Amino acid sequence: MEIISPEGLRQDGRTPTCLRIIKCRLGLYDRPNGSAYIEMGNTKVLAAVYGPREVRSKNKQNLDECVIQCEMSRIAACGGERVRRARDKRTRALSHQIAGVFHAAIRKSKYPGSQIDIYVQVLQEDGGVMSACVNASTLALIHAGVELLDYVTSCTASINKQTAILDATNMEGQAGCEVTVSLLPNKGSIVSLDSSHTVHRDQFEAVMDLATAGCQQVYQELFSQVEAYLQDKHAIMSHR
Amino acid sequence: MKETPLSTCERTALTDMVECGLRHDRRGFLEARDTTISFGREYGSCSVILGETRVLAQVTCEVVEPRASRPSEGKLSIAVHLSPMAAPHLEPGGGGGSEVDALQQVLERNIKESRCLDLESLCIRAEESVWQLRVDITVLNHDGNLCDASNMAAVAALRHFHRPDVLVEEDGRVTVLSHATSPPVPTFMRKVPVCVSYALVCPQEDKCLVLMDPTHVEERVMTGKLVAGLNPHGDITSLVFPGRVALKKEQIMKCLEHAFRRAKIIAEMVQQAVEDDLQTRATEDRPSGFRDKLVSDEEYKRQRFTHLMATKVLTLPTESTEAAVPMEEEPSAPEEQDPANETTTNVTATSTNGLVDTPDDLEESRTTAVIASVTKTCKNKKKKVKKTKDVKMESDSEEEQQQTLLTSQDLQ
Amino acid sequence: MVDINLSDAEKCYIIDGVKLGIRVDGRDRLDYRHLEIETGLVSTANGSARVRLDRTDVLITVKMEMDRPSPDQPNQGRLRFFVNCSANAAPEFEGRGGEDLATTLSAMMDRLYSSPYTLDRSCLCVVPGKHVKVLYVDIEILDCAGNLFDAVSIGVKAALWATHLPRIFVTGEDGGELEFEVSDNPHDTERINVSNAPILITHLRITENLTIVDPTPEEEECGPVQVVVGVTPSGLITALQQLGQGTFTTQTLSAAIKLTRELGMKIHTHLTTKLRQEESMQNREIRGFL
Repeated sequence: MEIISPEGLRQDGRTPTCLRIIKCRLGLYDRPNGSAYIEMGNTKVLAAVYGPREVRSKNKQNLDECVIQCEMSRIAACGGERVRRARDKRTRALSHQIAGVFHAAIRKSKYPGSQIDIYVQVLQEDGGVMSACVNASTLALIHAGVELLDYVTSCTASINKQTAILDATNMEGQAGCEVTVSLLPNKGSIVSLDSSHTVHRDQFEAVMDLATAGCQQVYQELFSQVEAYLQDKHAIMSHR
Repeated sequence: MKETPLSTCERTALTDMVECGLRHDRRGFLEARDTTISFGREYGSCSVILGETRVLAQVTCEVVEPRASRPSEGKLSIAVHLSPMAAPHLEPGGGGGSEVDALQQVLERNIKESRCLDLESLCIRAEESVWQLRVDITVLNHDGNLCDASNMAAVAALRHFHRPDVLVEEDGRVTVLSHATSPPVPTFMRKVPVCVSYALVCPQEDKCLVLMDPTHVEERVMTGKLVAGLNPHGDITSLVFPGRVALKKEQIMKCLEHAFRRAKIIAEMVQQAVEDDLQTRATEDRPSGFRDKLVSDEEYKRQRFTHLMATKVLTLPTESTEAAVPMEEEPSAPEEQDPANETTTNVTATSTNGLVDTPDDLEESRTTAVIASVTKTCKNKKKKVKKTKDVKMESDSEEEQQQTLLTSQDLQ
Repeated sequence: MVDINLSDAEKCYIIDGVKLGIRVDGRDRLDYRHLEIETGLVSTANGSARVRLDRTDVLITVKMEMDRPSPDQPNQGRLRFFVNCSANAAPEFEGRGGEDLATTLSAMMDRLYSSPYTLDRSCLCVVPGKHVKVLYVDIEILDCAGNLFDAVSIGVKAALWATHLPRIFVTGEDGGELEFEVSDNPHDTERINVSNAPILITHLRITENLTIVDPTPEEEECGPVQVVVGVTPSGLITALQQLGQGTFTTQTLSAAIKLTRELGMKIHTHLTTKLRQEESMQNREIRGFL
């Protein structure tokens, strides 16, 4: 089955440079300091932030800045086949990457000696899992009130027979490489870059540019959602 | 055992040195350490020595049933063992730990997912029996940059490996023939994947300096890391940049350009080493293996110094520089460098980026750098080597000077 | 359960309130909190349900796989429960922290459905003696605010109700191995009969002879002992478990069990009506977590 039809549309009707619909919500749960939920097409991710709080193990404590830890897990029914273990080496590797992303984005010097934990739960995966996790974590951190240098938005791009496509689903991404870029949109600097499967260097730059442009689009979306949320909150508070 | 903590003054010394354009072991920013590839007695056993990092890779094979989804392809599995033999702070067991996970991920992406090895040639009978190759990588000594070394070792071992010949009978039985009966068959590798690691050091918020092939102590000091897996044909097999630092796109593209150049060199090196060994194996009755190639640390350092002195004083580098940014000449330096000056064509001035103004300070910073590094044995040799190295120093503390960074001294 | 620190004064307040017949949030002894159920959230699973009991949030997914039957029951399919406490619920559940709670819950669910009367497993059989369907029920605890057992059991019943199993045909034999064909038609599915599926009701003994139903975490801190009773729609008790370090007198226990039967039958009828209502809604928009 062709991924891009002769008219230039993909299987779900998008053009190659079109993002999937993003729906998100901040502040789902009360117990974590910050929580958020994001849906990018069929990829659904829940994120919770606990912190800044006291470090649990003293030997990991860093007195200059805070320690950031991330744990990602998947529910059993997140993909087509049942996942036997919620946390395996793949999720561990992704957790490290996400922690690395936020090491660069959180203003760590503001919370010396403390720990910020980010917990990400993948409810359904359909391509672009790491991007969804990073975006959800950003929203959760904003909800928690942790000081960030900038939003962190993330997007995936792939390549299919010379055409670069943005935000590929699982089926579209199986054919080619998958490049995930995490960006600080206002500064324009890349915080994380991950490329799996072979891509030729001539095409790599085009794919990376597309992913960067996609990140900016994601940023617009997230920003408007956060604004709406803050306006709601303000509306509630202004009644008192 | 817990890792000995790096004192603050060591840490500051290293980052300040990098800011001034020096590395603690006198290399250029984009210079790799000495690499040696040697092979053992058996086919498929390879040891790579990258500076003081030593890695051993061993390839074994077995006949198994193929995977149901891919019935005519062989299997390849890669296992990394990082035990306290490599460094005392590592956990015994050699399995878990984030370092092993990251290493495993990079190697799998580079070698398995890039499909550089032709798995179809490992098929014996479709849907019934195929060869399964297993690469076991053991880190013998950890001095930084395990990704590059392990990748090189795995690739060289796979290229060197010869699998036994098989005889397939009509009723489907497979007989594995011994080496005496029939010569073993080499594996076929289409493209040689190479891994190049860069350490990113950020002495200040916005400045970001790129070091290639970091040693262990540089890895402890670095802020971020960029690992690029590629092959000389122009494919990027994997790119892992796990954050901690914010980079601009141009810096990443520059790193990739440099990585491609380096990839060509490494691929040729690996190819040459494999061919040389196979030739000597053909002539000798019994291959000598690692017997003559094991070298102690002391011996290695001594060899390295004599090699350095010989090459750095007498080389005539043929590459021409893109003189992008004119750099300030050191006023007092020419006196020491006169003999060296005549022999070198690209005189890139010693690093002065406004931080160190007077020649005295520069001398001082160099002597402190000397004191800070722990691996040197002879002080006199040090000074001589240092002076000749002065000529080759690039200053690349500002992004604009990245240009010059890439052009000079990347040959090793 | 998650740690909550309560002062003695607060504990006395709660206990005395119950003695007087009113709880902290105004409920009666046998009142449940606000309960919300939604099915069909996760499209990759055969069946799913999300239950919110005030702030307790659990997500249940059911996935079907084929496997060999156990040797002592060659014509019966299997039902397996797995519980995972997500770190979202409490940071203590990170890594392997939530394993104790998870094992208790999954063991309880196994016991609840252990009787063949609760769920007819023979309809899960495909080829007797060789292939049966195994239903993996995965329970994800997203937020923990007291009374996990009830929420989980209600969720499991709802998820099983909403499960659509694809029909499997045996197409032929190929060298001793049977070949199967799974129906591609999304509407050609089988449902599971959950008319006898039980639910759990938790009774917390706060003080002498008084038990309350559906305790909040603060109330759980005050009471020394809980009894969890599993009851089917027809009023039969399938499982019973005592949790905690306290004791029950026989009168309290039998009174609790009798109450459970009445309460259980009421809850079952309500649940079935609501589930039927949800299913009959055309073009239902799935709210999910938004």
